[in-house]
Amino acid sequence: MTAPISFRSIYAIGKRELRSFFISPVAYIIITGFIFISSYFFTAYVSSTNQADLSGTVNNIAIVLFLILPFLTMKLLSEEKKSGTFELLQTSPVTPLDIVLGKYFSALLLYGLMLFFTAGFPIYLEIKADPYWPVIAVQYLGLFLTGSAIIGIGLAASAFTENQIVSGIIGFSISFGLLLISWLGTQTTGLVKAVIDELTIINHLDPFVNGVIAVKDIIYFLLWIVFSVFLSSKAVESQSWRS
Amino acid sequence: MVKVENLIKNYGTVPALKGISFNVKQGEIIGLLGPNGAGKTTTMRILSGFMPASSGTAEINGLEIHENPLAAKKMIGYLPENPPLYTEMRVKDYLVFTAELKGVERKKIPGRLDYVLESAGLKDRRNYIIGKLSKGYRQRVGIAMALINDPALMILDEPTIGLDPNQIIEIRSLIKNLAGSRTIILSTHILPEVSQTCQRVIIIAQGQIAAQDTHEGLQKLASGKTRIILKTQGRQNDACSLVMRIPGVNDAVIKNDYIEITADSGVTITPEIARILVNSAIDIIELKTEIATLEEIFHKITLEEKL
Repeated sequence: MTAPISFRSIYAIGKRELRSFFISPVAYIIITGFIFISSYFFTAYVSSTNQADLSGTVNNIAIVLFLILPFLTMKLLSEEKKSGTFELLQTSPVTPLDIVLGKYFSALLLYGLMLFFTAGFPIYLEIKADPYWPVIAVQYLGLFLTGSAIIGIGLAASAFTENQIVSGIIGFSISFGLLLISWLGTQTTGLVKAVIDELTIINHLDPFVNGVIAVKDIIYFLLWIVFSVFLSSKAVESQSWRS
Repeated sequence: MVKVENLIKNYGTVPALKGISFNVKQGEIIGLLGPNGAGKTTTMRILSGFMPASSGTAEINGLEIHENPLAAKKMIGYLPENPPLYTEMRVKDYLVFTAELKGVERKKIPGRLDYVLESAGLKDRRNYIIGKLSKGYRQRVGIAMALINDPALMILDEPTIGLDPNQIIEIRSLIKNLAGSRTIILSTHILPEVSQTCQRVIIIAQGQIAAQDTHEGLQKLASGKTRIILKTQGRQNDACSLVMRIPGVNDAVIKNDYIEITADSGVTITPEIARILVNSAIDIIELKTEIATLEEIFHKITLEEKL
């Protein structure tokens, strides 16, 4: 089963998925909710600090991502299993990796669109004051990577069940857990603390929020993405393992 | 074209297939017949590459499906029992998507789309949302999907299940029209379907092949004897004794207005009967070889298997 990936298949699967997001109300509800909540945080932060700075808003948006992205990813593979369309994918000449990457990129693209709609925030700052754009770019990169990792985790969760609710709860629990363990890090010492601190997702976003790009943090997010995609494709492939 | 050897499939400890072997020639329409739970769907799912067998091989044009899944799947059009439809999509969008998925060349897609819409009788439904279509039309969309990559082998799992009688007739004639050089394997638990659509029948019962033959062959197999019905214009007793003299005739019994003749199967005996009776100036009203219905055969074969 060592076939090269087919960009055409990935494109076809991703395009269909993206379309289905917009045919159902899911995409509209998620995008609207996201814009609404993040605008609220932006307004609150800017009006209270009176600074041409996005860092507070970025931190808040990151929390919103943990709550909202699992709704986007919970159906990715589980819905196909439930409705039987998985049988079509499985019997088509595509590899498990093609299927998984198509799904992943569709959700990633939708997330990119969500971030795009927040471009109004820095533009507003530019009109009213003089923000430092390189930092803003780094902050957006951090947000994008955080979201990419959460989407990966959600995708993997949806690969293991045909129940969307279960998939959503698992995806949410794991990614939110990676946020919550930061508290554990403050309660422990030594090696345990070091490991927990490294695992905590927000610790790797912080440098981006401060305008710093570190290879270590990029690798952290990439590892989650690669691991999730790998795990998902193995879950899909496991259907065709001899038992 | 299709070579299946000793397929075994266990679901956990439950055996679903206990060693199934059969061959299908190019252009043949094969019916997999069997009661629910006999292993028809499992066989088809293995053939289509949806899941692997526990052991055994299934080759399509020399390619083992589990060893060469991508190349083998390109030759197959598979319609599962529940058509795998994205109900929110429009018919034409869905078919274009499946064409892309199955690796149909980009420039060939418009032509294939027109062809399958035409063949499946979906031309006036191309812009419909699949979820709004009736069950019969959804089945057509499923068949169009299975046909989109111009497959050498079509695998159709219960293609007429849940349809009303008119739709069933339409889908059956659709399947017959698809045949030509294409090989088709379809499953059903409806007996007349097989005799109307398929050239050869494989009866599966309890994970094993109970019988495989042409429709006619199965009928002989089921009875072992041929039953002939003879109606004459009077002189039934004379007719009886005359017929009994013919070699191969086992028995001739008068029943109300006809005579029931039992003969060894494999011997064509009716011309001889006719000749003898005409020579003796007995008028024949009716002389026919009675064909056992597939229902009788099916019942007999699957029942014997259980005993």
